[in-house]
Amino acid sequence: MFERFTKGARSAVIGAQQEARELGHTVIGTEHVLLALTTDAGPAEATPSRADPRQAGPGGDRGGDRGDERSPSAVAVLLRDAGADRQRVRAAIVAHVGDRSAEATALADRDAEDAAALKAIGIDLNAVRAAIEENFGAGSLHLPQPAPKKKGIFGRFYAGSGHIPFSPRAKKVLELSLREALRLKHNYIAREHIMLGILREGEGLAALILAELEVDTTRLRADLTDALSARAA
Amino acid sequence: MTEATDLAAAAGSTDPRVGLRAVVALRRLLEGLERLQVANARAKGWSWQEIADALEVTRQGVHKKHARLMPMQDPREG
Repeated sequence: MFERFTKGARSAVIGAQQEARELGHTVIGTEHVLLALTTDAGPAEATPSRADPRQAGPGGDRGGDRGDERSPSAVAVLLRDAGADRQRVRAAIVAHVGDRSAEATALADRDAEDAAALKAIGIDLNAVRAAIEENFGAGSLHLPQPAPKKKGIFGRFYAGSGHIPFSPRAKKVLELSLREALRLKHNYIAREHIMLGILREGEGLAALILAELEVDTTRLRADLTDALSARAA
Repeated sequence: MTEATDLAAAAGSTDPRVGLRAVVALRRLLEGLERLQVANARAKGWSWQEIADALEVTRQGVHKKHARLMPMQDPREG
């Protein structure tokens, strides 16, 4: 599925992870995806990740190569017009989930301390991590926190390492973005489709925040669809 | 001092703080590895009993420890 994502859409997914990390959150939720979509151009957009033409079929690069990221993100503009700009979304997320960026730094320190302690008894944590990641993918080894100060459901087991998992709802949003693309008969998934996915999912924190910001979701959905068909035309 | 001699010095340290810190770090590594491998076994369709046998613990023990934390089944692979 991921090979159908345009560069802009990929940068939004990567951006969601960065947003979560910067806030010190241990799971990527729908709200982080939304926050990433309110951003015009993430730093990740510099990385070349073309849609795979073999998978995308004829015309599949359309969304990836044309106007998807050189211009400011159309989705961000639509969201801003609808009343959900970056600052307001971020503030709403902090209000709901909290800002744990300081704790995130402390956890990273702890991992570094661990690596030093293990080195003292002849174990190279980085080598262990590399060996595991070779088979299980990047960030697959999570070092759990032995003494959680806060008994978050997720905080205990995911904190620390670089990788942040997607929440089931955020995954659902990405799946729905594919469904939206199929519904519109597009063979690629752009940022607009992800935003449509968020609207379709409709239950996560992103949807709640949109409701709080009094975003007209019906209108937004229509605008997104229009933007997509305008591009396809 | 080179890194190698640093290592040798630390490994032979009798300072409890150094030694105990290493134990904590090892435990975290162990827990992280166990979780990863149990998740992998589950994803490959192993039963809790099979995992328990491999880990040399009871089925109840391994289930109690991990069942709640196992990643949800990917609906796309249902």
